[in-house]
Amino acid sequence: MQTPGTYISAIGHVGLIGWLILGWGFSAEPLRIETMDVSVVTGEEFEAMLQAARTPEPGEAEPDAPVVPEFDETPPPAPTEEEPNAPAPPPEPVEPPEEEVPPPPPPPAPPVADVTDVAPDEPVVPAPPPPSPDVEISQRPTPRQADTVASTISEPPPPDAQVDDVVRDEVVPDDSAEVEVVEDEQEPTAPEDTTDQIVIEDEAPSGVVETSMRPQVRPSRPTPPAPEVDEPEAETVETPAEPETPEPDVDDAVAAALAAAGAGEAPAVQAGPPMTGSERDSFRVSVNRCWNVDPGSVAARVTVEVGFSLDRSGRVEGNEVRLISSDGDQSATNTAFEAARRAILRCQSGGYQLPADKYDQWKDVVITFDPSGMRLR
Amino acid sequence: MMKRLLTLLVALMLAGPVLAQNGPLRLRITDGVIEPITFAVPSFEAESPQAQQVAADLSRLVVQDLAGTGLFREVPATAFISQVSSFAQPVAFADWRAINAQALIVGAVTVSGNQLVVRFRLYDVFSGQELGEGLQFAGTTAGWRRMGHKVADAVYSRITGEGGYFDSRVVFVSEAGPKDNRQKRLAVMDYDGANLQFLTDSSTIVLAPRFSPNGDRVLYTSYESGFPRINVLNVANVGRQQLTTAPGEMAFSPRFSRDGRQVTYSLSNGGNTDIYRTDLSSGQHVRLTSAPSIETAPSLSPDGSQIVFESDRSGSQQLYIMSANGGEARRISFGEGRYGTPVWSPRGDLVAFTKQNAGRFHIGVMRTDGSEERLLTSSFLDEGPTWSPNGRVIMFSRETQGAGGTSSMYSVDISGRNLKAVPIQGGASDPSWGPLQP
Amino acid sequence: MKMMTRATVVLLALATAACTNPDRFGGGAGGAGGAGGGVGGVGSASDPASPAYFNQTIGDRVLFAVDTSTITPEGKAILDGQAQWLLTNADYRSVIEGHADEQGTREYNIALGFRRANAVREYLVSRGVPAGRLEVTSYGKERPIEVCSQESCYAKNRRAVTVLSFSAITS
Repeated sequence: MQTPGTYISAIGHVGLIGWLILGWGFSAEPLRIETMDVSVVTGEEFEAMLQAARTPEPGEAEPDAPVVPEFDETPPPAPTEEEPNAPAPPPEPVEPPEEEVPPPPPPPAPPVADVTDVAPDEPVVPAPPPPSPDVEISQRPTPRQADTVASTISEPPPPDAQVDDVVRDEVVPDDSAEVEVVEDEQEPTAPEDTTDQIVIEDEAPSGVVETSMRPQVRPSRPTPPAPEVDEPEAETVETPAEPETPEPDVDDAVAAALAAAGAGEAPAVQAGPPMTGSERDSFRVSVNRCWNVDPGSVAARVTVEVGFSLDRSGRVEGNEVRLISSDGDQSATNTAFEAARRAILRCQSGGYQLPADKYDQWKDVVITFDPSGMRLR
Repeated sequence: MMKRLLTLLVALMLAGPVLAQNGPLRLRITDGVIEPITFAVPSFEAESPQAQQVAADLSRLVVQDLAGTGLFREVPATAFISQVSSFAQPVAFADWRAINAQALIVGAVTVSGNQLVVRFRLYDVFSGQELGEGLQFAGTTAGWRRMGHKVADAVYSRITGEGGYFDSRVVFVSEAGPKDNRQKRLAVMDYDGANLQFLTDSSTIVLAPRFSPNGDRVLYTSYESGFPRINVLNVANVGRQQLTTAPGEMAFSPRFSRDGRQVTYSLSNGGNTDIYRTDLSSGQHVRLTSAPSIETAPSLSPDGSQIVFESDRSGSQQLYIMSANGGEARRISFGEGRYGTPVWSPRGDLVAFTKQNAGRFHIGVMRTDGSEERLLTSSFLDEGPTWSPNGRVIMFSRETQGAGGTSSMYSVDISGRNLKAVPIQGGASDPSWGPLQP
Repeated sequence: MKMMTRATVVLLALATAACTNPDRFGGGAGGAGGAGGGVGGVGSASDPASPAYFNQTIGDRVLFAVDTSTITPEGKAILDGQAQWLLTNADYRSVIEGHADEQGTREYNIALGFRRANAVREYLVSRGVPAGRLEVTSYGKERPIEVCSQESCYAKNRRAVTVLSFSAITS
């Protein structure tokens, strides 16, 4: 192997390389890595530094307080400008100015445009905002749920036929024109568990994804399956709405129980008309269409519960949203909380449309943001 | 009996809520939307006349970085209702809410001589709060891109709660020429394709460079001798030396350990390829596998305790995980097709890989127990994934079909979205994403 | 005559090495894509003692089926001829280069090419060629000789090439 040729070649190469290194290009300034003093300045220091240049200003935007006023006062609707943002899916019509006016035009299906970006069909959540008890409203949710149901079935079908009912119920709540208040409350409780289970099952079949390039993102995440049970509340009449979905006979027992319960409970209901299912749904929809979830993030694994108070115009008092609980670490919790806060504040526009005569029912609100069904799969 | 129980149950369920009627209205939201977060970046304020250009360029770079993730979308300046004329001026949040900008980034740039100082603040527009504190970066004007990346990284990190990846570099193989006479040379670039620099000439085949954990060195396979051997190259001075491997004719597929002191690689001898580890300071070698099959492409877990690698011991290429010291391995890939080039994610929860199935190549990810496999890409030939420092993005090589086929690098978000080509001139392959720079 | 041939070989080798580089095929000039680099093409194909005869008449390469390193019957016939030639011309050594088609990941293909080269080496040794005269290497999918993305090309790229080099040391 050690032929003269090799030596000559070696010599030639050394020379060539040497020339390259010394006389040309990169040698001169090999990767110049600019050493920059990236100094992190603390808040105080930074402020101090700014003092000089800064004209005497009150504290910068940190405090919310100042902000609020501006918000209210500035009536710059400038809707025109918004348009440029085109794809802004969220509530663009956010005009701080008009609060009280229960803007009827609120949620007309927010631009679904965004969906486009996302290859995976983003469940277009164009929430039909109509608070009115339209059955139709729930349509969008319906399709999703249907998917969910399907997947569920394909997998380990839950035991009872009940499962189906449950799923549908979920749908129902959205759709149902008027569900009793009671229903809602229950949602957070038992029913949810059901939902989660279903979701998990769906996830299992992840293998399917192989074919598709993109993860089939959130298969319709079965939302809080509002157990029908709740419905029966005071207003029996509404019950029918719920069952909208083929929830037929399944349980006579349950039905009977509900009827009985409803009758008996009715009186127990607090003074003041309870919120109907559709009222709750429309509220929920108006928030979730501003709730932006990044399925690839760690924060998408965190469920946060946040609370806030609304004034009579449906606006968040003091623009203040507080974190009540979380199941994630601090960093992820913080991110998840900020996303939830953005959703609530961004979608309030001139105020959430809620029945004025039931103010006591929605004066204080606690919302649980659970992205577990939106994870990548 | 059953009925009675049910009835009772239902009654109880109803009663609970009713009695609790006085509490707050409770809602549970499980369906959000997946869309980019909107942000606005008014051109950074130039605090000195010479800073004008840099301020404008730097602002644009911040926008490019953020928008390029697919997680953010810029609200164009033409939509602005109010301008930010001074960094110190209070922010008119209502004006930014009106154009639906969820995040606002304001900054100021000062230039004196070749010194550059950048300051910025990030606001959550709808809550009217500042996210984090103001930050300042100081450096030289020549390094303005890094400063812009730093700002974007800070913004990204504050909004997403995760580390950024803009101020990072990628070492790769720059390619030229047809398939049957391809010239290859090592090169490095910023993650966005800027500042391209070559580390070797194209006199010999070089393959699969791998950055050291802190980015100071690069391991790569060279055919200088006619046989594949592993070289270690010092990025700062382009000096290189051959790695002393265990005795054998061919060594390739190297990777540094997380502390940069050891190298795990493949060595072929007598037709068999196994995985070895060499300690750079002591020169000691350890053989980690000893099967008669092909074992290659080792990649260590972030904590250094385990190695994921590929092996055809089952009859076809599949992924396995074993202790970093060798021993029993467990298979984690069970889908159809062949799996290769596994790379453990910096977060530790996923393994990225190349999959071949039904005549197509894919880049995919799976959890380290093999579950939740998801394919992110599909093409004639995709291979060699590498993770961004924060484990959010994967860059890889894509070769096009046919005699005129060329190779280029692409990146894709782990959600499978935002697939895009890395903008550089000429062919490129085998990217290795370095760390976030200090 | 023999001396002349040797001289020519050496001169050519020098020339080739000098203008390409240590990696014979890196520059693509002398190596012809790994298809018979080294002293390939030297001499006349009609001279049984010439490398040209080895490369062209006997055949310097054997092909493999997808993802295998098993020597085919046709391959064995060729290798029998190579072994015979190598035994007759003891002044030559050889490096056996394993190659793969592009349908595979880079690392795996290098390992696969090595398997192929080694299979050839073992066969030649079994036919009496001294193991010390045979080295192996693998280029994986880095040096295809055919560039189309079809089986017709892939079949030619899945190969092991016996590349001769003249060595005064062994004679």
